[in-house]
Amino acid sequence: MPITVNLDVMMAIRKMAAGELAARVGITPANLSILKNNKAKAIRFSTLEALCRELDCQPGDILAYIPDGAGHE
Amino acid sequence: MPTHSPWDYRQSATLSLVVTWIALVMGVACVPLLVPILRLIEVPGTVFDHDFVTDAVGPLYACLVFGLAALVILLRLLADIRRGQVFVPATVRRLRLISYCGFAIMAACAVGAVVAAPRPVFIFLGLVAGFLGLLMRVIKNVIDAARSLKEDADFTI
Repeated sequence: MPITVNLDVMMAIRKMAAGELAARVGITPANLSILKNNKAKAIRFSTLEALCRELDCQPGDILAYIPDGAGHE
Repeated sequence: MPTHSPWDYRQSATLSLVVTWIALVMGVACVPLLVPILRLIEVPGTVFDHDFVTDAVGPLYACLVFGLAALVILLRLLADIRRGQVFVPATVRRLRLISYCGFAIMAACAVGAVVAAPRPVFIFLGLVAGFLGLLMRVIKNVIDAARSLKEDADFTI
């Protein structure tokens, strides 16, 4: 999937554990893991809003677009 | 005023399970009884003579085997539905296999129509089995689409 989720980076910067972030955002740790491991197929704006609020960042800080095959250059 | 159905899907699946078990037991009972039953309908001098019985046994047994296989697969499918596992890859796989059983019965009837008279009996049975196989295939396509939608929903965070 060309859209990657870089939650780990922001979580490390804010020194926030996965369980704490999941509780603050209102999703289960399992769903947060699905997001972090790029297995999610879609994300709700409400979830994205909550993540940006809790991590004090912009959507572009946690979402990146990498075209297929770009990583092989 | 909304009406509340007394049946939920688990109860309905249980009823389907019971009926399928009954059909399976009857089908298994037919395995040793098929030839005696055919002998009962044997009437010398008519199309249902000894030659028909002899020629029809093979294709009919083939139909029985594929029919029993379809019933066994149906039992597994209904058990999963009762557990709430409906739109999962296993359901799609089982529906595909059941449709193949229908087509296999159609093929067995085609053989029967060639080797045994009266042909209309086997042609009719083959068409019915083929239609049911096609129906199961379409249902499989629908369930596969639902599975895909469910997967999208499950992985929407």
